[in-house]
Amino acid sequence: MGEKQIKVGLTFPPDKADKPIVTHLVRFDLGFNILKAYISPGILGTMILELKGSDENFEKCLAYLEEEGIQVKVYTDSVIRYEEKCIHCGACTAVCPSGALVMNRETWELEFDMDACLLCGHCVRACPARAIKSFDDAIL
Amino acid sequence: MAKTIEEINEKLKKGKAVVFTAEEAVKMASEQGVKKCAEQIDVVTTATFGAMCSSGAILNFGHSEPPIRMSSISINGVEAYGGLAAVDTYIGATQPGKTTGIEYGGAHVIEDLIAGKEIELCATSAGTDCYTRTEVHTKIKLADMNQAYLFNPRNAYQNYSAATNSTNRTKRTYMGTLLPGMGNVTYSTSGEMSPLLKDPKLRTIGIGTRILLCGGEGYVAYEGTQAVNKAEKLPGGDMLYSGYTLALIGDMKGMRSEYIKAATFDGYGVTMYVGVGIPIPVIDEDMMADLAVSNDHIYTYIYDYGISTRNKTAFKLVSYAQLRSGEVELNGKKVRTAPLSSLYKARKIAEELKGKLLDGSFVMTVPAAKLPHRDKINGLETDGRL
Repeated sequence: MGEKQIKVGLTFPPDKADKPIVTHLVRFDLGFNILKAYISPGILGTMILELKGSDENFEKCLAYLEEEGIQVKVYTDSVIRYEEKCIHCGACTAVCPSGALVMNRETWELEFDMDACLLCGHCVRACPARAIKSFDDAIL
Repeated sequence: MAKTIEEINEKLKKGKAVVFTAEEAVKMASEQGVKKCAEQIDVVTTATFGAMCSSGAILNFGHSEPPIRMSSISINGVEAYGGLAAVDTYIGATQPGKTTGIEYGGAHVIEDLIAGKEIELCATSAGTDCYTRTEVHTKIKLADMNQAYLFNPRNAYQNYSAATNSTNRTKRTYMGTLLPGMGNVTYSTSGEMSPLLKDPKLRTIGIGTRILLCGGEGYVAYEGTQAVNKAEKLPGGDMLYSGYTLALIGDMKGMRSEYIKAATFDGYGVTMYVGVGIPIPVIDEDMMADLAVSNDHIYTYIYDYGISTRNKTAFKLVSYAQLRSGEVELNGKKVRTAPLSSLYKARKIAEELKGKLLDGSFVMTVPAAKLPHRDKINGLETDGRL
């Protein structure tokens, strides 16, 4: 079984914000990278993590999080580009920090690489045609 | 071997003319030279699909019973001008919605109309003896209107400066989101496809030139606002043309959604992507020489858009080949470049115009008059208060 990499969005209920949860993820032998987090005691918190590891460990990890009352969403597509609205202008590529959104220099069509996407959401506001919608507006 | 537009039209009619897109012509010229191209090519199609704020539509709604002299007009919640005759209006592309702000404005109304959608028209009036009605609320489509045409006072900019931001804060501008510390560079001209860069001396494009406007038939109505003929000879011998603009007009009923797009520039406002295609007849070898100029010989300056001034600082002169490569060097650092106008759509327009010229559904016109030469552009002097 090979290693894979997924991006997940966690929602922390207000009463869980002060619990040491992320630190326990180490137990599942997963590499993790916090891409974005907004956690504060007493309010609903959100966090976006990039996880790397085996399927088996993912399952264990996700089961643990759910047990702790953390809502988990697995992002298979971080942003959805509405094909019919996109005019391939390239304005989004000006703000994409990771190069996930790039212009094909032959066809001048916009290309998107999910693996490189950091879920920052900058492209959503930068798109003049409003063709990019986030998978989950809550994470923006 | 000079040719007139009429002669080329005759050749097109007989199915004997050769039409190339600007990119195809550039390629052939680099391989076979200008002279050969001038002999073989009859028309070159140019195009651009970029954000053109100075755009809008003139609409006539027809008269209600009893009639109204509309003085305050809103379409889908976007204000339209009430200072024309009873049921005429002008809706500007950049007008924000009363409640929707920059997410739905004048350009969106125009886009919806061209898409055939029903729009909500509300108008009020003080009422007069001949126009007794004081209020109207109704729904109407483009097909119901008597006239509906785009009249865009400034389109098809010959060449536009590229933008960067030297300050330490992100700037949200009409040149897109500019990252601090010269974090990116944006540019908005279609380079070797740009109509006015391919006829920089305005030898064939004039008042009355038939064009493709948003996929439909349109015309060059006049010089565009702020038009100025700037021509700078660069040290390497290349010319840097910039500044000229066109006022364009065209029937909305023939336009296609594919070639028009309402847009929102974050933190800036509403604008409209307008598709323009202009055929350039190869009247002689000099014309072909201008048509053959490629992206590595077409330049623009990168200006600092971080500071709000009409005298922006120019950081660097770059070619469109450099801009399109994806990065340029600024202050010894590699900076990412991003286009704002759609080269993908511009290519489609140039291809479509080529097809229409060849199948006879688009016939070139001889301009009714030359576009005026403008030596300078005036600023606005204020009383000194900020």
